[in-house]
Amino acid sequence: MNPAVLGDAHRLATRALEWLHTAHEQGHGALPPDGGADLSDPDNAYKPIGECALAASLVLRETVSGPTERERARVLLDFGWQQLRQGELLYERQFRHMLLSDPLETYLHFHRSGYRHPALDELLSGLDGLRATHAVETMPNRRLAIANARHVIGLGSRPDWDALAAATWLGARPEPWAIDWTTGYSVTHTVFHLTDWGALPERLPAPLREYLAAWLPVWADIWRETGQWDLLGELLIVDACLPEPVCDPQNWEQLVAAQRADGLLPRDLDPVDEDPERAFKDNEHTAVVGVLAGTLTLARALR
Amino acid sequence: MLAQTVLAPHRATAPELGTVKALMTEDESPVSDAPLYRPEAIGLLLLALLLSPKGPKEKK
Amino acid sequence: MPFAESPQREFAAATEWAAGRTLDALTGAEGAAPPTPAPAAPEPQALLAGVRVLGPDVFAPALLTGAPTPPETTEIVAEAFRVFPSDESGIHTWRDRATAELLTRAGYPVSAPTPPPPPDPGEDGWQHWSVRMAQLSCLALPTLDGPVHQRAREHPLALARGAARAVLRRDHRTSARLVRWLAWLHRTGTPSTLELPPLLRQLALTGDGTARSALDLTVAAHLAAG
Repeated sequence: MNPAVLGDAHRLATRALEWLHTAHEQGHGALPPDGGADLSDPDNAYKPIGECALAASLVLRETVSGPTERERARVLLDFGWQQLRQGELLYERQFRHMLLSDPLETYLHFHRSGYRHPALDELLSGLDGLRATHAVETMPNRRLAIANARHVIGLGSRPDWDALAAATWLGARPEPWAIDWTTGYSVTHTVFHLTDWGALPERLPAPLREYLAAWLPVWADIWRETGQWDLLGELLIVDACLPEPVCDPQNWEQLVAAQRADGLLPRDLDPVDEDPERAFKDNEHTAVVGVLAGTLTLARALR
Repeated sequence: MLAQTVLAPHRATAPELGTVKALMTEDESPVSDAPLYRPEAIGLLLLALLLSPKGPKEKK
Repeated sequence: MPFAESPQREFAAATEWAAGRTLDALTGAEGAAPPTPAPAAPEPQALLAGVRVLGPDVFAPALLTGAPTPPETTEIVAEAFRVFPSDESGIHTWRDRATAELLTRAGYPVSAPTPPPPPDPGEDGWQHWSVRMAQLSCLALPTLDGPVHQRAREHPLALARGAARAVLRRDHRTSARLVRWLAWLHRTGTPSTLELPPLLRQLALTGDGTARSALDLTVAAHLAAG
């Protein structure tokens, strides 16, 4: 693989992780101190905690990061696990709302990294045996997220991956010129969960791999040109989930060029908010994307 | 020739030649109008995504 | 016919006029004929410029439907070639060569300079290459073949990516020109990665209102149907 891309991937991931780590040291990303199990406020830290845990869990899963990065990943996971009161908040939320999937999906990242909440394990295992939880009406790419979470945690159900894939937008192999911004995210998430973030590339059906090899470079190009760094980063994660790279190296150059000296990767071309708390909330997702794109690209190259 | 009698044109000047060449080789649109975030096209389901993008700030 | 003083605007308008006439001839509109002097025609110099810009496309109705090109039309193309000679190298010389070939076939032997090597996607990527190919879309006609066509045959995916990219950028002009190449590939037996009928339909629905794009799309539809 192109050495310049690997250099860019390393740089992007390392600095994005450093920015996340520093932001947490400065006190961002914490739940309100009085918070109970009501995690439903979309503006609170529940979602960022899950996303940071995702990035950290994959830094630890792959063997491409140095000791400093692994240590930072562990700090982020410890922080998140402590925020979730060692999984107790997830357990309470899942106990009260048996059809919700976000406790399962958030637990996945911690579970992958060795954290356990035995009562939650037992609860999830029981819920996995219900028709009711499998029949919840969910967007097809979200179904894949849930199925992959159950699979990685080791629950008993055996999904039909091809059928799940076929139900997504990507699964239809649609006219590639008809994609829109939101659907771009549907595509990336379909690939993330279907391949378990690049670990199982063969779970992506061959026709979809071929389809992505043809059209992913086009989507990366149009959203690179328009400075959609968050979406471009997700598309480069998709690239890293394919057996071979398909996107142009200049995507990497521009993504790295967009990253600020402090490691903040802006989500798009809008000015970054001067309020640090707002800047964290606005760009935390893109930092997670940067860590994942860089880490998974390096991991694919070394496989 | 018919064309000459009908049209009686003069030999093209350099600017005229340049204009014709430019019209022959129109470049692509310099500005992309690629699909971007549109609040009205998102829907509430997105709020439920665990790793989902946030919408950009309100445009001023 | 009143035109602005700038040759750019005047020639662009004349090109639109000539493209509209050619389109009428191609679609069999009543009383249609390829561009010839007529009451509503542009000023002579502009008319010749417009015909010169269209180049090989003046012969598109004949090449796609078999209807003969009226002799006065061929004569105007030849005259346009004399008034606007092909005297420099550049990508447009590939168009000039195609025009010269069609003129020569029609009994008006003219020569065009040797073009540079045809553009290659290996040089600066499929994005730039597809735009270069869009600039040469008028070569995508039946019976024309050469090094540019060979490049198209060698890189159908790069062309298809270019077309998808142009549609997504909402660059209708470039989309129309590139779908024409895809249709030419289809006509000449190179399988495309992009389905043509939905793309042609979409572009027809979202036209940019220019006769040039409408002509490219109509040529593409004829090629795709062939």
